[in-house]
Amino acid sequence: MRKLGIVLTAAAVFDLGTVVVSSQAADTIYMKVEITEGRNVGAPASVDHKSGKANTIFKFFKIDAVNTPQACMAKGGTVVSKNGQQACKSQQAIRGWIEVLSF
Amino acid sequence: MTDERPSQAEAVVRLSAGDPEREALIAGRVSVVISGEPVEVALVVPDGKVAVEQVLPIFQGLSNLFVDRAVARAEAEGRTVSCRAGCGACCRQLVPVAEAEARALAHLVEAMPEPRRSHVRRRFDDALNALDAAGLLDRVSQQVQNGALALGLDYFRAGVACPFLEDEACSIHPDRPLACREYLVTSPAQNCRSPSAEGIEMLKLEGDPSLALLKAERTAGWVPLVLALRYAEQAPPAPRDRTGPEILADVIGRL
Repeated sequence: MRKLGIVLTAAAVFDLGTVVVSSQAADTIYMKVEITEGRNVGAPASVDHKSGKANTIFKFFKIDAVNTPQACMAKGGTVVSKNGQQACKSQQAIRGWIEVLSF
Repeated sequence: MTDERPSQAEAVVRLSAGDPEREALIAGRVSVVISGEPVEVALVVPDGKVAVEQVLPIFQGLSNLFVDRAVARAEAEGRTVSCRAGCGACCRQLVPVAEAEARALAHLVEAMPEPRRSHVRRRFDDALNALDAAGLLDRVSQQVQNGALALGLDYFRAGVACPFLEDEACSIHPDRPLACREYLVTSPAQNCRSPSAEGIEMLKLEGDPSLALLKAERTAGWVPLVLALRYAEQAPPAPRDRTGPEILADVIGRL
């Protein structure tokens, strides 16, 4: 038996208001996974328990009017040149599933 | 003062969850401001106290919204998403799903007709056996937070495919987890085959419903997709102490 019909033209019954999604202005150029042996080169790094290797993840953000070289260095990053573009290289959790695992 | 926001009928995005034949539903709205642009979303969800998975279609729709925007932005910049059916490289990664998603995946498998249900269950068993043989099952089961990066890399090297992967394509594509929806690249597809490869350019989303849902989970945390069926069998029943709107407010507020 039909219990309830949806009346979409009626006024909304609940209102969650306005949610501002904070989005990063930076565009990632690419991620690079570097495996360094026996050295912990800084966060975020994880140690492979079998081999003892420290896995260091670098992330590269495009330098632009918003993400300036000064902003890059202020966050502890390094301004480098990649594929003819200026990029901010920083040791941050890479975006994606591995970042989710680290959150 | 009058409310000048669009009504339900004028909303840009309409998302719904629940079955009007079986439960009371309630309509509502939220305005999501993305990069300064308000997006009006009309919502219909169960009104009673429900499990989080009963409103999962709302979060799937929000993931699709953020992905569509990111794809449009990338294409405007001259980039193309490389991902398509036939490339299942990332389907061999360790995929984190929310507990609600794990329960939803278990329900999905249980509802499959035979013999497909048995085939999929067998693939889950085979995947766990392969992880065990590789010495990874204990680490995967412990939801390791420290060392998660190394686990992710080791998991990928083991080459254990998602149990839902068939002919290098997702066999549950309309119902795939949020993490899978949000993981897209614009770099060459072959670069995804190696976990140490340079030149992986991920599509940057303005919001992550997958992360928001994970952070809203109030119990143990994320579940490796490969353990979804085992989790659903062994975990306590899903809590049903919040209404649909209350769950939405919690998750959407974490975007």
